[in-house]
Amino acid sequence: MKTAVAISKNDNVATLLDNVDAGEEIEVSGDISEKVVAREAINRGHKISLREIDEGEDIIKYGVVIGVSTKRILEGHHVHTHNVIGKKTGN
Amino acid sequence: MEALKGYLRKDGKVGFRNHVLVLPSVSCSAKAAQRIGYSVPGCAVAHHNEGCGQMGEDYIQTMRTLENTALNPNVHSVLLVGLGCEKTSPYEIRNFLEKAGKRVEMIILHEHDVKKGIQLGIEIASKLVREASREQRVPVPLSSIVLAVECGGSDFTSGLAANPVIGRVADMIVAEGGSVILSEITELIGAESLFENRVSDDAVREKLNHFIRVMLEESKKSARAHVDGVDMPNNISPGNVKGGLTTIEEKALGAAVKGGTSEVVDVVDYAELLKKRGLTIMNSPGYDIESVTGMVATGANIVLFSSGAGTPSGNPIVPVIKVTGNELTESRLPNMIDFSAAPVLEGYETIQGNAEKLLDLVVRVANGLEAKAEALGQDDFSIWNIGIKM
Repeated sequence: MKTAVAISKNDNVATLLDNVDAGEEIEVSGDISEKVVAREAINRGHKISLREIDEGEDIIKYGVVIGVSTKRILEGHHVHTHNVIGKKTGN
Repeated sequence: MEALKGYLRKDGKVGFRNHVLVLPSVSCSAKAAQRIGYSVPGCAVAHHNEGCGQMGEDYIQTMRTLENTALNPNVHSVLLVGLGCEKTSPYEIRNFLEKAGKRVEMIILHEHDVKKGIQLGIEIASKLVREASREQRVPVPLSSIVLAVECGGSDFTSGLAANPVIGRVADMIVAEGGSVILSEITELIGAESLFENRVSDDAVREKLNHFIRVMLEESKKSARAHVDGVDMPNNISPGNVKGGLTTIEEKALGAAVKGGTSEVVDVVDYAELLKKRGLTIMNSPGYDIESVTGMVATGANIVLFSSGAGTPSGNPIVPVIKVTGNELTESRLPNMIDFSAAPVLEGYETIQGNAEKLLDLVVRVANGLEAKAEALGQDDFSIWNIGIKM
């Protein structure tokens, strides 16, 4: 099975260790152990949302805030520059 | 876990190696120092390119690095090798070390000529190695560990596996009453949020913010700040974005996580002696060799170094243990890697489980097992220059 890693149990995103296609089930390991289904194709090293994230909600990786969402992100979607900006720098 | 054993020094500090350090006071005597040190098993050589034409803060920083490296508890005794006319005066260094209670001998090449100086140096170094051999390891608590954490040659696995595992080891050592040193201020830019709630002392917070601000301003002066993923403050490189990094915070956090989650009890300048137990941040650039050299002068007696891509570098007096999160690096570059955190990425081990194994290796290396960099003779040593030589 394709895999992803989430470092902290507070994380709402996981980093993919494989390229995935829409519909593929992914096993998440690290401090979180669960499964998530990719809703779009996402590349290795990129982030997938583990739950629905509201517009303006913090993106948590490593257990800390790495940015803020600019739109609602559904579970299993690609989390990247098209829907996240830096909280400190605003870009 | 093995019982930890170390060399208890007169000042109460604990060393995990028992080197005779051959220390040139200046670049001009560095080759003679190498000829002496490499001729006598048991010696370590901190050869460098500094010592003359240095001014102001740059001169002070070089002196501080040389003196505090010699004070490191992994050093049993010191043979200073001076030329005789340098600004970084070997006489001053000797006086400093004698006052601090460190066993020190000195030769000045102007007094003996080079060949006779080297011969005399070999005789003195041999005598010091015999003295050092009388020292015995004694049981010491885990709180004797002063762990420096470093990363270099990072890839996407560093922030996901190797650095979090090292961070967990750092937390375990702090929980035992030990000390951890985190440096590489350039890689804290964007990761300030990681430290916001972990500094209780306002003066410590201001010092940290000051060092980060200075590094940020310096980075803006250089055109290189816009190359290869060190675009600061607002940009990360196209390659980072392609690789999956979304914000500068995300990038910096992957590096800073290797310091663990403990309270930051102190912030010190480059190569300044450690004052407190717990997690201390030291001012330094991200350049691995200068960063490790500074943390060793600060007082580190062991180093954990994460590298996704692999690097051979070590230190003359302190074991440097290499950790990778990349299973391909581990299999392709076995001489550069001591420990694999890849099972965390592959889902076979938890961060905690992997970190416990790594702590076990830290103790075995502290007890005398040679790190790969030691077995390779990687005695890399480089002092951070902060001025132009005259």
